Amino acid sequence: MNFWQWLRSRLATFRQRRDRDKDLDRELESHLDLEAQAQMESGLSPREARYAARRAFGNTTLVREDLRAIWTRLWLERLASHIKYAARSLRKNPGFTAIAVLTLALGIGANTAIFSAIDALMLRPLPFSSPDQLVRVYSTVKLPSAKRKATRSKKHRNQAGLERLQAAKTSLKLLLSCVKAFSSPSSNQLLGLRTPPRGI
Amino acid sequence: MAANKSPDRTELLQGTLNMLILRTLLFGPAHGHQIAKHIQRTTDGVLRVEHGSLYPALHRMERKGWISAKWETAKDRNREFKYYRLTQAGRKQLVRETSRWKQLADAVATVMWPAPGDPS
Repeated sequence: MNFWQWLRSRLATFRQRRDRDKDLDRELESHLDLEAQAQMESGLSPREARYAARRAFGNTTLVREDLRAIWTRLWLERLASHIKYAARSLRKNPGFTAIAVLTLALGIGANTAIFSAIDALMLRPLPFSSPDQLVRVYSTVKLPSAKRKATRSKKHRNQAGLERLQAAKTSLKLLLSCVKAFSSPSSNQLLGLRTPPRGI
Repeated sequence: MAANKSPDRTELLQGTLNMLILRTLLFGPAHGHQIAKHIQRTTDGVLRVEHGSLYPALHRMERKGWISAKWETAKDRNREFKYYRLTQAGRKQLVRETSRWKQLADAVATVMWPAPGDPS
């Protein structure tokens, strides 16, 4: 439903309600007139007859309210007016609104962040077939230290990078052979992974 | 309030108002005031319809589709009134309510005036 359709339907409901209210008033008015006439025929003055008719009818406003409750979803109207009132008072106190919104935003944000961390770290099991049997294998080969970075010349730096790369490659190869040694057919099955890890 | 003034006036039992209105409309279309007057007159003023409860009952029945309403000019005077008419669903409802009321009345009667020879 786009905005114009929405507006039109709102207006239609509004008009319907107004028409119905008018209709109710007209009906009750005609009833009171008839009753007053009947009272006048029994000898009362027009003024007194009118009063008597009203007395016989009881609380007109209450009856009108009852009738409206039959035709409209009164609780919905009441809810709508409550919401309207809340929105207005929020707009009237922008400072309060800002603080409230900020508090809510921070609270929700912090909660979400903490929960996602806990969920990932503690609640969700690792995505492997038997995570409790997982071991960590790492090489103890020492990479050339980062001190070399301090070297001034570009050539030296490149040299150092190359050396680090070489060292990393060797240690990875070593690791892979370790894994191969542990698993009989392939390392994929060892970890229970569906897709093979990217080739090294 | 007014009930204290007329001791012979009986309060309408809950749920019988609908039945009485439907039965009154069986004679033909009528507006609220006529319905109230008719019930009062035919019972010699024993049953008096509270005007404040008549209209809510009428509108509730209109909403349920038992009666339909239309503004029409009265024959005897130059003025429009909201006339209520019985619908097909209203006729069915009247039959239902009548049989239920008869059942209730019979049950009360058997307690109040047990048949002679009835062990009690």
